[in-house]
Amino acid sequence: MTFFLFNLLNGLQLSMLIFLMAVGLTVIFGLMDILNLAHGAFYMVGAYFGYVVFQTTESFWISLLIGPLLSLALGFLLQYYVLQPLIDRGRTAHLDMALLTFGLLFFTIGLVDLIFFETLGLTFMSIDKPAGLGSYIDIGIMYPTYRLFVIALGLIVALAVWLLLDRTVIGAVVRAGVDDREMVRAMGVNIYLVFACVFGLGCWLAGLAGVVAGAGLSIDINMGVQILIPTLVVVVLGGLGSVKGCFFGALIVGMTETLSQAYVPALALFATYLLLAAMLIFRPQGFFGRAPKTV
Amino acid sequence: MKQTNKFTSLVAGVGLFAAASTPAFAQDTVKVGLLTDFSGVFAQLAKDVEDAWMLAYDERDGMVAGHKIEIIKEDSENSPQVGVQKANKLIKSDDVAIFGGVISSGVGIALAGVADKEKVPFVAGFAIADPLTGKFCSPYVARTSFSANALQAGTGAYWANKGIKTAVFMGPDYAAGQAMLAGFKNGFEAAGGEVVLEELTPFGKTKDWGPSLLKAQQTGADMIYTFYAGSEAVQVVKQHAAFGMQESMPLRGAMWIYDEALWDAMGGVQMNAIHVTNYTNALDTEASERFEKAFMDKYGRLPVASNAMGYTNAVAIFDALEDAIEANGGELPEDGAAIIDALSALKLDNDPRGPVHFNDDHNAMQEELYMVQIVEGEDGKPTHKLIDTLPYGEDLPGCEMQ
Repeated sequence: MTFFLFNLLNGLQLSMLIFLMAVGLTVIFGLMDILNLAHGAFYMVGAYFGYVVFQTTESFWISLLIGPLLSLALGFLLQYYVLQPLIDRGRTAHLDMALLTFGLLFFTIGLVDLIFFETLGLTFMSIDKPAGLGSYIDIGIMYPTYRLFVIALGLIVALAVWLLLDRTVIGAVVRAGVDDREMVRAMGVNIYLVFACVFGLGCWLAGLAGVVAGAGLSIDINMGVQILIPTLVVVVLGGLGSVKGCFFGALIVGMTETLSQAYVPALALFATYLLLAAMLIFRPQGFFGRAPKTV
Repeated sequence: MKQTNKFTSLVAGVGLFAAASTPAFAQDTVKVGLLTDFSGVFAQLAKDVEDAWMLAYDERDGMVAGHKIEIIKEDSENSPQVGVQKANKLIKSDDVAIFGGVISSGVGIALAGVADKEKVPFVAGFAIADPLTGKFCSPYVARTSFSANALQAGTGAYWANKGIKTAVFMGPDYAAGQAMLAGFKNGFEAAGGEVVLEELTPFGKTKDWGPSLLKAQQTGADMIYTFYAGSEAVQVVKQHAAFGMQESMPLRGAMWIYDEALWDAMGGVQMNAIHVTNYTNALDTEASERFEKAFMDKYGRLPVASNAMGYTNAVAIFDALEDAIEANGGELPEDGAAIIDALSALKLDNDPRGPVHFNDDHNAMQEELYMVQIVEGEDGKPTHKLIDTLPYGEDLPGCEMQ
């Protein structure tokens, strides 16, 4: 029984990490209709920059605070100066954006490789956990405190994003932008700025996930590509653009991965994809997604 | 291709010039291919092998039996398809006498096929999959590292003899992980131990080792024996420590899990860990001290196991060329198998790993393996301490040389 409970905790921890990644992706898609495959790159940038900050300050907390800011800045600039102008010129198809951002992901990987491996000779890195979270506590078994921190952080972010989008004026503008961006512009809102801010915020969350993973897992050149696939699965499961869906999608993916690894290892590799296939067959719009607009 | 460097093009340029002006001079050059996985997950290991090759090259002033050595580097990108393509390029357009390097077992086995078909000798630098010198053995193929079984069976037997009765095996679920598991189990169970749980995790897809570690905890085994490398190794070691299992169920393995290149990333939890290796810079034999000093002088850092492996690879290739050319009256032998025969006859008594010789399958054998512990060195940084030596295991049978 305790084995099962601790696996639930493990599953919750993994879910929260994936949620941090996926929520940015889904909000960006919901608002701007851009499938941002470069999201993995922002995750990676957060982790690597977090590592640099950590090396300079030797503080996990400062690294958690500052690391993701580079992802935010780059995300903002990408949307405002690259993607938006392209959209204005009519490059609005999903495939255009997916190809561009996918290319950016590999460009970032190459650039990071050039700086960290080819120039500095660093292959594998980690951010040290802070003193209070580096150990384990006895709750039936020795359970790592850092995992409890990840769970708490994920829940806080979920609540904050939900409050922001559902309960604030900014959220109202964003939601209005999803429904009818022309009308929002007519109301005098600089929708481009809103778009860039939301894009930046989504990338900030990816960067945050990167720093969190940099301490719990490790930092290496493949991290961005590795996390991208479960993230996309979560977004599709939850319904593109839905924060609530994203939260439950992340829970389902995290739990499926953890429990299959614990109880049916033979299924571990494809259990998640089985779920994805089933979802695409029976409910292609996801749990909380809206049916495609017919107009 | 990012490793195509100035050195290669310079040498190639000089070679081209020489070929154009004096054809006789061009014959004096022996071309050797260094084909290895410069990009991909093995990039670090490939660079280690390359550094060791250049040291071996410098030590003989780039000469072998009166001929100038020309090293041509190619990147197999950890892909058998790319490896085959590059090997064909080395053989057909560069006309290399022999080629070596290669980290990946998948690439190694593919290249063994090319070597056998084209009758150009290939000497694997790492590629430890058992079948390379087993099922796929050939008069044109040799290996200077070791086979998975030789390392792991020896280690399995060692731990069982040390009183470890039960072990959990954890490793990635692909060819190498399965080979390591089989090798460890062979040695461990033959010596009276029992593997109570075989936990193979999806390779490159696992995001959390918590469930596997919890399962291991449930078994109450004496230790966990692992084969992980790179980022997976970092994560497993860190999470094993985070679950407070270091005392109750120590995490052991071979050199990959506690590779020096990962120490920074492990952030200290690697301290006091014990693992097996076939080379450590804590060795104090005459040959290893000499290698350590030469490497230190050239690169300003201590050599690691993959450097030693690359060094054996290059030295064996150069020495074999030397012997084969001398035996053939100063010319390269027509049949490349003569070079592999010369290599198999080598007794590398001054190898940093300890004396190395080759068995009938053209696979390297060394006398003993080393059990090392990671301890704090005099400068406060982690370092290896040699705590024991153990007998080398055996290769699996399966080679029928044509």
